[in-house]
Amino acid sequence: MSVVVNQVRTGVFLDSVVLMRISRELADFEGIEEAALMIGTPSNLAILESAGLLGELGRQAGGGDLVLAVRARDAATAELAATEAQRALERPSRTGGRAETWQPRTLRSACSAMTDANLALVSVPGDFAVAEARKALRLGLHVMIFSDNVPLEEEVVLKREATEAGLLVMGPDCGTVIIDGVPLAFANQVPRGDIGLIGASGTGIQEVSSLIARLGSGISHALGVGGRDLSDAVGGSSMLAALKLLNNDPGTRHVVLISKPPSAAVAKVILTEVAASDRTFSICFIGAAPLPMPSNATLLRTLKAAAEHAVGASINAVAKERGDESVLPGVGRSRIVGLFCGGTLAAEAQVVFIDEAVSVASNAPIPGVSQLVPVSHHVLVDLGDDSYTRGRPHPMIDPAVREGELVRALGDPTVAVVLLDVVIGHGAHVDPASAIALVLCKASSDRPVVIASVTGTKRDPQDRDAQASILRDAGVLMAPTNADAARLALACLSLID
Amino acid sequence: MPLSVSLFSSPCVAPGHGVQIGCFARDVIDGAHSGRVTAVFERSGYIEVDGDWVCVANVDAGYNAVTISVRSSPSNDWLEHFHVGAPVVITPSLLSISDCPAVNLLPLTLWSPAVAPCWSLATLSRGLQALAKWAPDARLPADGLGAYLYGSQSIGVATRESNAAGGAITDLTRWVRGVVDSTDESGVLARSVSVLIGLGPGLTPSGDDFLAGMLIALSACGAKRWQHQLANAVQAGLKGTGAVSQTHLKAAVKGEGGEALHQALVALMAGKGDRLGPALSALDRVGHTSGWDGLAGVVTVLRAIMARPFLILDGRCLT
Repeated sequence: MSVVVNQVRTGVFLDSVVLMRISRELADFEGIEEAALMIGTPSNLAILESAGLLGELGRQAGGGDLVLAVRARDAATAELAATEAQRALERPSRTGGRAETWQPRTLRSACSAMTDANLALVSVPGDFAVAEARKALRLGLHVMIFSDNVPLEEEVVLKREATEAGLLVMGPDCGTVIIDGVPLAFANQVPRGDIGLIGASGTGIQEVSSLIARLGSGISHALGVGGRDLSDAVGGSSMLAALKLLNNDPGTRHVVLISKPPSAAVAKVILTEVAASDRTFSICFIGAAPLPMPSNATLLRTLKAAAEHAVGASINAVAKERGDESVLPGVGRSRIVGLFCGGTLAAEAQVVFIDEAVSVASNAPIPGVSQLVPVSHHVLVDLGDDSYTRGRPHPMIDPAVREGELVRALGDPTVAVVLLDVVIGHGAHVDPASAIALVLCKASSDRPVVIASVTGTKRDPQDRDAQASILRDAGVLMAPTNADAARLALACLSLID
Repeated sequence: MPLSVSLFSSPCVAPGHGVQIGCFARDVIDGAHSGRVTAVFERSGYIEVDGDWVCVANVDAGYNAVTISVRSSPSNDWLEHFHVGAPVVITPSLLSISDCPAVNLLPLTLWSPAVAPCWSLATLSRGLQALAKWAPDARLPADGLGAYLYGSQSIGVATRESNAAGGAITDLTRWVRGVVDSTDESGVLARSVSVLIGLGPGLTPSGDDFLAGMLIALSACGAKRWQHQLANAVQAGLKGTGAVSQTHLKAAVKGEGGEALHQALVALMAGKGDRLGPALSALDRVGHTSGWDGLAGVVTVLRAIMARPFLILDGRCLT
């Protein structure tokens, strides 16, 4: 009576030439009726079963296993063939153990374990952040401080210490950094390239880096400096340090600076450093008055313009979205209400309104925009502002923060257009578009026109295209960029051509 | 988890120099920073990154969507530190294995498969006729599914795989020719894919190569609906095959595979008989039977398009 012997080996990968050769050598053995050597996929197991080559052991194999199956006239012959097969399969064994994971409890133990580490990310309550950042600086580490609520005077002292040590402090309240393609905190999955970003604005970096990615270029490094860095008190200390780093980085050809308008004194210092650089620059000081620029730098009004200038291409030439400004708001509706998660995106929308000479108010106004009051007509609201997020998560993390405002705007008979930003990427909500769609599906059919753009890339965890598709299906007019969304809102009200 | 911050460090020198990277491989490693070695061969290795596998291979193995092609000294010393399970660290400029520099990733250019610049039913017909003329010289391997290159009735010696695949290939041929009732399409696809996926002995079983060839051809021809349907069925059945083959099938779902298969596909579509011979010679060197298995899948689709000229491709009707 024939005997079947099976052997199953896991993690052995051999090409079919080798497998077929060994199978045939086995089949040529005296007393071997049939032999096969195959990976244990269901299809192959079915073949082996029908050939009468499968035993209990073989039936348990999976697609990652190699199955040796032999049918012989007796047990001794089968075992001998199996042993020969094992010998034939042997190759230099290069299996090693997996690196164990280990979590350090202190900065010092982390540095002891990873002696080549040179960056620490500090994310602790603001009261403790400076102490941790100072420890990192004393260990010779550059620091990213994600924490907010760090007193201004402590930021000033900390950054002075960093400058003296030749180190970079990114932050406090630095939410977006990309180093060597590694996104830290709120950042998008963008390709590597030769454009460096330095920003005092998280969502500003996200919009510009995502647009650069969509234009086919990539980012060398994106360094956040914290929202107060370009104030008179701090003096642009981190931006100057970041400029030096990118100037010395062979992988950076062009640099984009993003910030709200700096003080005149700080702008002068920064632009002096820019002028001394052999890199070219796109500078977007959102809402700033015209400034004299060095010959290697161009001042851009919007994030979109900065990204396009950095790449030398137009986003509208590659964007899939084609906003339809022929959509008309209902009778009696005349107001635009912008509800933004990103403060810099709200500021960029304000720039668009200013440039089109349309009056607008905001809770975070840039120069030339009035402060939000209950009777304001067009309003652009930064929902990430402290007044909305105190004791609550940021709207990028929890869309519920915006829902109440959105429901209110959709039900307001004077509102013609609701303008939204949708910021995706690492750290952001897993599906912000569906959260908006859910609100819209409950709104009445004569609701205001809703216009949105998605800040992010197709390779983000949420997938920009998928998010845009969800919004489009919910009846949202999609614009290719945040600036285009603001323009589309104005066009819908025939406020611009 | 080690974090590379080359902005603040100096570049390393590695024994291997990456020259080309396929789209699938690029998408897997872009933004990643660690992985592990999962398989090692004489001229190549596989690394796992976030659940996907990428092939790192000597440049003479041919370009592929899933591969980082490496130029090295004849001794292949860049493979020296490739051991199954070894940790991999990826930076924009360097692939390190067990903390040892292995492959420089700069400069690394993106490899994209060739596309037929202009084709029609007339050029496709010329291409398939050229393939038929070449048939008498064919030295198809006895194993695998290359025997189906000339139709769903297999020629040559029947093997376990070809016997098992016969019904499924017939059904797929009927499906792509539009003979299957639309209400039964998904069932036919699911059954056929479940038979073919993982069918065959090697790293990329013949059944998988056949399906990959079909997916790539449907994509190249712009038969979006069919490509989408088959891609869905293949994705649903991916667990029926090994990890290496899953990687190649995922790339095929996106319409991309190996250089030689794309060259043959373009020669057939563009009716360039003079280019077919070199392309088939290159295919013959792909694995034991993989090149021929993939081409059989390609030709199954191309013949269906000839038999069904009303097939809508990218919104246009070929005439």
